[in-house]
Amino acid sequence: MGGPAVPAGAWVRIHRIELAPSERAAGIPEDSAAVPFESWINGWLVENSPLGSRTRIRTATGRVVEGELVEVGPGYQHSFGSPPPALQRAGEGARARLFPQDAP
Amino acid sequence: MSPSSYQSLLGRRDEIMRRSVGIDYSLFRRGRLAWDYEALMAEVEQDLDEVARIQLDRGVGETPMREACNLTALVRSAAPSNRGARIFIKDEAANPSGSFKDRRASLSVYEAKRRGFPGVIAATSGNYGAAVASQAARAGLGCIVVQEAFDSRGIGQPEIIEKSRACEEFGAEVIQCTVGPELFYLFLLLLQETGYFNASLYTPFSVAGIETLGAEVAEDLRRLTGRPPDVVVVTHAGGGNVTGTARGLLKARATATTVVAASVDLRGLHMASDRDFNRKSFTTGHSGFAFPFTTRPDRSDVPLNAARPLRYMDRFLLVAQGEVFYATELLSKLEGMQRGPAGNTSLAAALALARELPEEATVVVQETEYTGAGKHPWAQLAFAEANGVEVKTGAREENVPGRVISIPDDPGQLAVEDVDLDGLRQSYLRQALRDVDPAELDKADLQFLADETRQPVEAIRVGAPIMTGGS
Repeated sequence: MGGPAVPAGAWVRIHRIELAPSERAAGIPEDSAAVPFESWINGWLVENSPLGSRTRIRTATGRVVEGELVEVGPGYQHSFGSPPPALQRAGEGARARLFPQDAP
Repeated sequence: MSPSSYQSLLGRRDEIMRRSVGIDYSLFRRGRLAWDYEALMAEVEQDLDEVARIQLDRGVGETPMREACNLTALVRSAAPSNRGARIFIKDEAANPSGSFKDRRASLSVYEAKRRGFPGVIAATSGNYGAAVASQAARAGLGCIVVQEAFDSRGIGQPEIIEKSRACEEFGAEVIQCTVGPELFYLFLLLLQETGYFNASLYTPFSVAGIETLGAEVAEDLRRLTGRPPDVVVVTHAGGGNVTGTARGLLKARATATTVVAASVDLRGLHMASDRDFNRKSFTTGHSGFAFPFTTRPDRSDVPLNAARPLRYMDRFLLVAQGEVFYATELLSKLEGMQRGPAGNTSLAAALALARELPEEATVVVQETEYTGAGKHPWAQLAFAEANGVEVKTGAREENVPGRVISIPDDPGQLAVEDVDLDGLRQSYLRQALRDVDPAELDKADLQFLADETRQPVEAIRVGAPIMTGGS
């Protein structure tokens, strides 16, 4: 905790422990039972708060939710990645089979 | 949150459900087990044409039907002479949020608005969340989507993260959770707190919304070939797609069409396991949903499930993960269509089926889905490798869920595995009759079980052979 406060009104991400391991549902696999049930929600920060502090956000539906402030300006970094050779070979083979005159 | 309040919340489940769906499910019960399925479906007050009009007003439906001539030619190149059916693809990616789920969401959100709910909630990591968020945006309703998104390391499948992004883009509040069935508890808490509509995948509205898809498929093929399709292949997970499509085909008088359910084979992976979560390279359309929802449909997020796949499927096929990636690659490279990959489960099955069928037969793949960052075979295969799954060229038999994805390099290698429907019927009956004293069952119950398993009532034996089987 500590550091400069993130200003109220910033778009942020909070983290919540919804259920501790001891509170989890009966009968789930051991690997899941050993860890907490957690959640993350994005929203507008209600009051000035440093990263790592417990704070409140107003979500897109107007709910006010409490949790640990973990990120400012949360975004998405998922991508397309590189073409896997096994897939490329399969596609090339199918083209050559259907259009043999174009085969490299 | 203490375990005791968790239990007390679950105890209020029926009351929360009744309020949040606007349906009193107890009205449909007819016996110890029996309930009136068609009466539940009649909660949808609109007929098929009216549903189609509601959907069209919201930009949903009347999607293109495309004949995949190059895929057909490829299949014929690997088929015995005079074999290789014509393959058609219903391009559901043309719906506003990019999948057939807009059909389900449009009717659910319409109903929520009509009944005066201030918003809608859906518990889903898939396209349905984006569809509900999209329709709620258009209706001016609040929307919360609860997703199973991350393992305990905070790592999420790229496909699910893309769904989070899409839901946020459409203005929804997105709650991303770690792995576990307790998501349902959060869902109940939210329904109770907000008074929102439960836009479950399993209400009559959600299932009736797909009937227009089945009816369009029948009409499209009549227009293009002069008759309804011989075979329609449906990607199968929770059962709504199979149920709604089959009901739509029947309403459009396509009574001779064979309805084939297809799922990706993920047997061996545990759906509630933190470790297995990111070793599944498919988030839906897989056996981990398809088997439990076929044999025990009422274990869902509503008291009585309107999706009853066992009533409607004529065949149930399993395809391997590598085959779905292969089918996706063929669709791109031979038809110039970038779709899926998850929706291409039925395409992989259709390619294998078409090889067995005569040239004059027709096979319809009844959906596609949009492609984007994360929702793309390159992203998914890279993620699989990063999580310790081997990706290689090879035969279908070499696929091991969670360990090896084996991609064929020859259309002749595509095959399907038939799931034994009689075995599924027995499994359904075993689970339905667990903890039930046969003496409590009356004629209505036996008829209900016969309807549920598509067997004559004489075939329903409530005795030792069923009760003593395995799971």
